[in-house]
Amino acid sequence: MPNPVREPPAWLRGGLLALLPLLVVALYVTGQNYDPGLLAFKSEEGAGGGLAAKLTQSPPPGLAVMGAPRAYDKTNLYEYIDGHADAFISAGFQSLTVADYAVDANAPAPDLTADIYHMGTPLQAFGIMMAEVTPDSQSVTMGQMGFVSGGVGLFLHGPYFVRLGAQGPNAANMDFPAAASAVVAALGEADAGKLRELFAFPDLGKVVRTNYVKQDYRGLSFFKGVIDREFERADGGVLTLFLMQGAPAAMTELERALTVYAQEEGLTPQITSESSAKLIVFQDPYEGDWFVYLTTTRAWGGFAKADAALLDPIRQLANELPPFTPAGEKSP
Amino acid sequence: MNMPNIRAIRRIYAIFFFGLFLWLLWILDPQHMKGYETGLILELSPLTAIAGFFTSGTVYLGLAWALPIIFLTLFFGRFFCSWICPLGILNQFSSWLFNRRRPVDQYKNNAYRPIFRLKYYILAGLLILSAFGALQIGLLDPIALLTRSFTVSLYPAINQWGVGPYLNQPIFLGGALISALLIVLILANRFITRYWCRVLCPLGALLGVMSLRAPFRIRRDVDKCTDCNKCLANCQGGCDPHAEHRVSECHACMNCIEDCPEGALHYGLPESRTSAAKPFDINRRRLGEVAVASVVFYPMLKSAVSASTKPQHQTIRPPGSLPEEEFNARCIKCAACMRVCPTNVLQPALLGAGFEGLWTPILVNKIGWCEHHCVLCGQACPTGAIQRISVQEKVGEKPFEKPVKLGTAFFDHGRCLPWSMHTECVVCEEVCPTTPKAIWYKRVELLKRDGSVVKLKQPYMAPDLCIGCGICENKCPVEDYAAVRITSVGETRSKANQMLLKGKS
Repeated sequence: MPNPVREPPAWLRGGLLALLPLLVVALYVTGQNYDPGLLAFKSEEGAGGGLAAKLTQSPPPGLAVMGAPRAYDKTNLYEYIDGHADAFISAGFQSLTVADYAVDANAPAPDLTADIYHMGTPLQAFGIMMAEVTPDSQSVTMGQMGFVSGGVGLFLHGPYFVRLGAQGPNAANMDFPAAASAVVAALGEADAGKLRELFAFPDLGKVVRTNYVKQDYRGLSFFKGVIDREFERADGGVLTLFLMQGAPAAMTELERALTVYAQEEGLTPQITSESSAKLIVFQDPYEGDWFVYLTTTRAWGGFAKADAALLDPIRQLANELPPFTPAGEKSP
Repeated sequence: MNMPNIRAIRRIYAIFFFGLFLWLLWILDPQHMKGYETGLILELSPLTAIAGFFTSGTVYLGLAWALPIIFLTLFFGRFFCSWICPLGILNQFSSWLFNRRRPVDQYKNNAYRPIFRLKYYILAGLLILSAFGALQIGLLDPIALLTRSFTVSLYPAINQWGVGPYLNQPIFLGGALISALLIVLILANRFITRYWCRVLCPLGALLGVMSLRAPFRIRRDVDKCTDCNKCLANCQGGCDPHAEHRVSECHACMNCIEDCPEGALHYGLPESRTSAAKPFDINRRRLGEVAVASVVFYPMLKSAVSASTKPQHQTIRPPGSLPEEEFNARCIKCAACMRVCPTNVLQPALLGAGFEGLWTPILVNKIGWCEHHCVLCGQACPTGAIQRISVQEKVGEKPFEKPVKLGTAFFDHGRCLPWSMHTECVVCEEVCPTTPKAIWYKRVELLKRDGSVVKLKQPYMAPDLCIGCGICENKCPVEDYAAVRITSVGETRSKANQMLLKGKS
């Protein structure tokens, strides 16, 4: 018996069905036309173009990338590190790329998050890393300098400071060095020599701590971009030596600023000219004895008595080292 | 290949559009929305377009999508309810799921009932209010209702299980009430098939009125019909296809055509022996009563304290929002802006903005804050209540002279740690995103109770720089009632809600 149901004609039903794929195509095409800056809150990827793509292409072993890496700049860093953005921005922050990884790409939360900060210069990257390192951190081989503490790994790679944060059930087994290698591969080569050059300190004992202060070192506005290092001396005492490096003009300016400072404070510094350096010794009623040993591109200083045991290793190092080359400048 | 029958095609459409609704709402976030027309389903609603036209005198560009629906309904009947409307489809599915009736009871269940008139009275009341300028259709427009319910309750619930679309688990003011209403609406299908669509839906009523003269409709050949009533078995609208057809109730689900064993029913133009249609079943006296009630209610509504009649400090609207009166004339309370908001700061207002503002978006800075470079709420808004502004316009970059100001921050010195508790804290100053910072501090030396001196930074706010983003209130370490709080005063969109004497930094 034939089906008595009176259906609309086949061409009409076919037409109705054909409308749906057309609608899908129209939706897809319009969906691709958008302003990416609007959705990424106007963020731009930092230096190292294509970093997001490289991070996506080469995830750490055993991990899969979750979604597209996010990018932040100075204008919206607040969105990612609430309440701490200023510390990064004042330390020279340029951009941040954040990539999430998980053992299972469909997992609800990442097992590892890589925060890759472009800090402008290796020194600034070092500075912010030292501010982030906790006292219980263990030094490990990651990038050019690395530390691990609990579920957090920190390392330097050229001007990049990278923070690896592990969370969830896989955090305890996270292979930070392997993850760091994957990030380093995405970032490309960095000149390891450049970083070593930054730490031009003589061997004065066991290194206790190294810090970077971007400006106003010990409250003195003319000390900028200073690295200071604490040494534990053989006699058990602690000595702090600081180092400021820059172009010859910067060192000349530093010398002038020191002279002005001495006048303003009523100090009478002892200035001794050496072959290619100048030793300035202060006897300060508040700070005690302190000194600055100035060369054409470096200034070492210490808040201690300028005796031969301290100055000779500095003199020797100053003679051995080539002039410091600021980033972006050619060596003379 | 056999072409699917018309009922199967209707089911394909229903699955497609319901899936499309779910997907468009799912991708409505900063990571996934791209350029997709995420408000498409909302923009299809003729009720939104017409009521919005009444209140604002304009049809927002996106709502032009409703015009094809209106045009097709005039010719092909109320097909929208079964083919496209996500709430109608959800109701149909849940009705089928709950159905444990015997066939004979099913016939009774699907026959027309006088209570079905109620939706026309609801529609009349809402349209009359709209004509006066009070847009309340968003409370009951099925697409706005479902979008709101899914945004505020269902999707967050799914997110609790770890598979939801939100980056961070959102919370919403009064979310439980909105959830409960959705559950009640779904459970009502247990008692009457598609209870919402048949009894309450104002959009269904509007489409029903539009479809009254539709030339294409279900038609019954009286010679072939044996009065077996099997066409009622799966009728979705309760439109009496077995008798004089009630066109305004018919959802064009096509079930009756497929269920008729005699082939007596067809969808199309009239033939020589087809039955007549039933006149529109509405009681004019009741309609008049509703009209009078609405006319009386409108001035009552406008006499109440609301953000329209008097600025309310807690009614902080999203960036790009129209002035309050115009905002209420356009906002359909769909919560799409709340779905796209990356910080969860946008919340459905309760009665703080007045009854008119119920479930409209406000910023609750204890929950989130307005991202400095985010304007996505304006992108998501289907009606233009939140205008599509650029980031440059929001932050006041050239050529724009000033940033968009949502409100102003005020310090509560009694609760501020450096001001009253001799405790160091500059969190608000740190997070303040403006350049230069609206929050600044003075270094002071204070004498403590024990006689010692403490050096502190006491924060101040520059009202001419503050944009009211609320991040300071959100991040303030005084948790329950922050020591710095935002109120709506100074908002760009209002000429009235301003400080009479200007504060300066």
